[in-house]
Amino acid sequence: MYEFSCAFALTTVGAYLILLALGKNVRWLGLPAVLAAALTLGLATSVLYTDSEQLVPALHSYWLAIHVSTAIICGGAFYAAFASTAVYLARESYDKRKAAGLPNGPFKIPASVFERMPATPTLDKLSYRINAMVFPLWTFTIIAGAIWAEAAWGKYWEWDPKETWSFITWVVYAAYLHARATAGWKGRKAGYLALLAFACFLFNFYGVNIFITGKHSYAGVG
Amino acid sequence: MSLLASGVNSHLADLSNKCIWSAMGVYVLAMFAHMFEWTFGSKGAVARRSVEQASLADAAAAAASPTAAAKKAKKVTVTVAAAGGGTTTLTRTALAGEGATVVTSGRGDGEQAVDGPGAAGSSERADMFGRIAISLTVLGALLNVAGVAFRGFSVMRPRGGTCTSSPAPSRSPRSART
Repeated sequence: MYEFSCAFALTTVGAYLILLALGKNVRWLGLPAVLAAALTLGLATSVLYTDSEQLVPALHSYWLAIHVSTAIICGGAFYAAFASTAVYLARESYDKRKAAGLPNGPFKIPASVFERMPATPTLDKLSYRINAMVFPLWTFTIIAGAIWAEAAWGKYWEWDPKETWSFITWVVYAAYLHARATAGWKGRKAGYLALLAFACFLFNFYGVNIFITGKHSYAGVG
Repeated sequence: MSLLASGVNSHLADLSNKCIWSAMGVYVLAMFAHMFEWTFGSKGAVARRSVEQASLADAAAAAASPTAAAKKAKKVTVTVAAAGGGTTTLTRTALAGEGATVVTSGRGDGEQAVDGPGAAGSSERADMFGRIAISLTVLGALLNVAGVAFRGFSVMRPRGGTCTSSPAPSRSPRSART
């Protein structure tokens, strides 16, 4: 978990820097990105730290680079979409309050903070696009994990807790994309579903590893 | 769960730890720089104007309908002013007959959405902090990469070596005899 957390912080910041390098107007994403990176590294170096050791034999496979790397990249990108969704919900709440004639945003945050954020359609579009773009990679991550499981443990799928929660995360993201594309969901409803999906992802990484024992328990914590 | 402690380059492992701690420190500095950007941006012209307009909006709503009609007419007009390198908006919708009305790139959804100018507003000082924050973020990311890389290098198998590990202590009485 220590190594995964370090790499997760990296991909979170990396997703932000890539969006900046592509010329997107996402400097507002800087604060959530470095905040998450600092917290993730803090957690990694304190609670999750283990000394550097050789891999257990079961992990000696080229699939490690494929399956785990893609999972980490998905995590970073999903976080960028999550931050965009969260800012969207805040901005949309402010817009409603402004239309109702109230002076400040939610939680009495000054209006000037919200006025400097992108407009709600921009934020909604960004989170949708990032989630849609990364979803196939997450699908690949799960399938690659299944192929590796067959090579390492003899079965493609055993409903191991990590496998199960990866699948649950996949289903919730699929529901989000389906709701947007087919049912035309947008706005707050879609935003809440995106938040739920990222919560599943976080539980998949932190919760399952720490609290539930299964075949993925290599971390040496919990 | 017993794992091998041998075969680890402790110097590289230590270097990895230092890089990760440094990355964390640099990210925290970047976070402070972003916070300054947001804070000083609120003293910029745009932020101040938005506060004025919030109170102007109150006054306009309380005033007679000709003002409201003028406001509506203003919203139909479209002028796009290009900002330095991103989306479109520089000036806000004017309420009292001054300035230009700007709208973001239309998505045809019927809404007239206006992207904010970003954390720095129009304040140069805040923009400087924003640039400092981005530079620190890049540095933090490089240190993070180094930390992850050195951690991996610390357990690199020697070239041509096979993936072996010392056998786990056997519990079988038969192997204990050999």
